Amino acid sequence: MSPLSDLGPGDPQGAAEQPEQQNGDDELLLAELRHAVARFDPPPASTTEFTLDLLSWRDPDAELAALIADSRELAGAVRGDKEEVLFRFEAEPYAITVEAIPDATGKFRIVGQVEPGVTGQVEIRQGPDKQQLSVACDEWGRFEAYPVASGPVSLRLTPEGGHPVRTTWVVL
Amino acid sequence: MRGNEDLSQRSYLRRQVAHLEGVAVYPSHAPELDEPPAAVRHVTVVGNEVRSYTLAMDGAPGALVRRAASGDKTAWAPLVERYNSLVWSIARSFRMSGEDASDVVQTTWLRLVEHLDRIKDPDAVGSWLATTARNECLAHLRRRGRQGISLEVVPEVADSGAAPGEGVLARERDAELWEALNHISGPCQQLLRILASDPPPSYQEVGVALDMPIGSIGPTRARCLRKLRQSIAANAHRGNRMGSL
Repeated sequence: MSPLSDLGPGDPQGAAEQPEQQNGDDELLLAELRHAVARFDPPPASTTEFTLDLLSWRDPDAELAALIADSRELAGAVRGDKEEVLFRFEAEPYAITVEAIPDATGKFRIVGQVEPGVTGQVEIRQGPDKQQLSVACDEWGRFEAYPVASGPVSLRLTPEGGHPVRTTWVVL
Repeated sequence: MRGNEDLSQRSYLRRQVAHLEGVAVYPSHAPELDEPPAAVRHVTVVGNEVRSYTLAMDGAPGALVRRAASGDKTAWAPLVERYNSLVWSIARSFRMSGEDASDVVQTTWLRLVEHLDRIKDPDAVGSWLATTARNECLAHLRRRGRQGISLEVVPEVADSGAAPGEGVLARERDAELWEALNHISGPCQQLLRILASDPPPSYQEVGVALDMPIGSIGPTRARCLRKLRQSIAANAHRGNRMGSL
């Protein structure tokens, strides 16, 4: 139920109890605050446009590979933007290991390997507002891509003669 | 197929236009639509001044989620309209910079697209988004170990949000409230920031966003609004003193 729904036309006799009066005042103050927040800190238009575009990124045909490990989440991990990050994703029968190495400009080089080794194509998906990359993986399943921007990233593997796999989104 | 899509697109656009013209005054002047509206504006009027437009959402979102899961783009836009402000407000309530908050918002929606066909309770998609946004914020703060920044934002386009019928009083009131919000304690700022998203979130959504029992939201809200009133009064007092110097 909307918190505003109890504002309603109210009590025409003006015989409202004190707590209800207080509640009505609170609803009005919150409505005014909502207006102020909408003026000073609304979601940026670019973010909303990005979001409106997202449905075309649905990919129900590809198997979803879960994130098994993220080196940043390990106990004792060094915290810093300049560190390389290691991810591991799994979806039967594949395991995908990915290393993201930041360069001086804040972009990342991605070096990865699919096990067991397969030839095929790896797409690096960075959301609709960024450049999409597509690279081949060799017979040992190795691939490399540059430049990858910071922000959400997902890989989509199309193994030769096999079923496509997409990784869950991780944030660089 | 194509024709159907055009029709419901048009209906959605008409809804948008109705909002812009301030026609969709809830509840008495709801526009006639081809289908039940996913969104209607509440208009709060104080004296002769329109103080706020609030998006009020009717109906459960489960049907939209199921349609979007099958690739129906006309179901996606209303979901974004309904929840984008909430997701953004959660990121900002964790004091993320604009850039980091945008990453959280993008990642949250990408995860919804990724999981559209496996959401257990499509009617609770708002809570799903709020939980995901919270987790993204916590993961972000954990990974980066960064200090959050203040909520205070320079209002670059201060007057672009002017709504029809709105005047200088509403603008001053907005500035007064925004400053007051930035001067209250962190936990209250966080709760009010999320409660002030548009349309108003359910207590369920607020509860999961803040990991807070639903029963304590009402009393905490009352206490935080009291603090906001005190902050408004304190700011006004400061302003007056400055003026008299």
